[in-house]
Amino acid sequence: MPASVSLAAFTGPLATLRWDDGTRASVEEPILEQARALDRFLASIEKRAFRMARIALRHDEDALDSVQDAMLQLARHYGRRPSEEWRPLFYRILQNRIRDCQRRRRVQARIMAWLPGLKSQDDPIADEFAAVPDRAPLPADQLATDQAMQVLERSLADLPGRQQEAFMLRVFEGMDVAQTAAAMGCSEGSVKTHYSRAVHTLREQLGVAW
Amino acid sequence: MSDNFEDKARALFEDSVERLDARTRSKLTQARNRALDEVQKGAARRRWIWAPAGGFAVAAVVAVGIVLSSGRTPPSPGPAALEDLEIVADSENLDLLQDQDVEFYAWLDEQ
Repeated sequence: MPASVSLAAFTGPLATLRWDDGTRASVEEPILEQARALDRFLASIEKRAFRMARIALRHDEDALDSVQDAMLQLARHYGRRPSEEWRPLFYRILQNRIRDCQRRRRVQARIMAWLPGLKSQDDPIADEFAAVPDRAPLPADQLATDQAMQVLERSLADLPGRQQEAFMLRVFEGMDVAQTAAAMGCSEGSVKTHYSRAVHTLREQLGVAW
Repeated sequence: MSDNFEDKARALFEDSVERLDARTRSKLTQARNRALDEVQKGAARRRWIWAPAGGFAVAAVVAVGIVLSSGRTPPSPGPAALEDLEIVADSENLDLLQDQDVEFYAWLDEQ
């Protein structure tokens, strides 16, 4: 199990301290507990966080970088906060990273528009293997599920940023309105508005396909 | 209707999460390990933050000790030293020495 492997690697030196000196164990124990709790928390959300970042950015590496940055920032600045606060804080950091990345891309796109001879290094189709079709036969229902998800991803990606955030946090992450407001850094009323508009737009776009 | 739509979206999303490829899972695990390392480094940094404070405290104690010890009165001289001082400071003895015949003392020394 990946979680236990990472925790064992992390707790090695601290465990040694505990065996050497019983007095120091009481000093290190809160750090151990904090690391264990953070490990469990990150393991529980990392895959969903990656998928949400991937939908927003449409790029695997950018999504991975954003999730990793969010993890590091959470551990560095908010690791000592109560664990109940971690989820909205993590998603707030992640959404900021996603917006930073989107801003960088817009700037790059403007520069590329002025210099058409240059090719962007962050080409979304940089991975040659991504374009290779999978030869393994997919069951028909799995294929239908994949296609439905692709349609949903495209529609979500076309939504305005705040509507996209509100929808993903409410539906995919299962946050209530208050938690979503904390994660988005806005009022609960704004969350309701963004969410309602997102659902309305998606239902209009996906109505026929769904 | 809205619930059906949201339920379907959630189910599709969860399915795509469960079927993440091994490479992405591995990279996410590595990212998590780096974040956990950051917790360890942060704890070590916090411990070292107290080191300068401890150094300042020791320096302050030493400085206070030096100041207190320098403020003490010097030890009083013994009775023998006081007698010597009186003899040297006694102007009458000096006059007596000047009045004596120095040549007589030089002759006496040669005998």
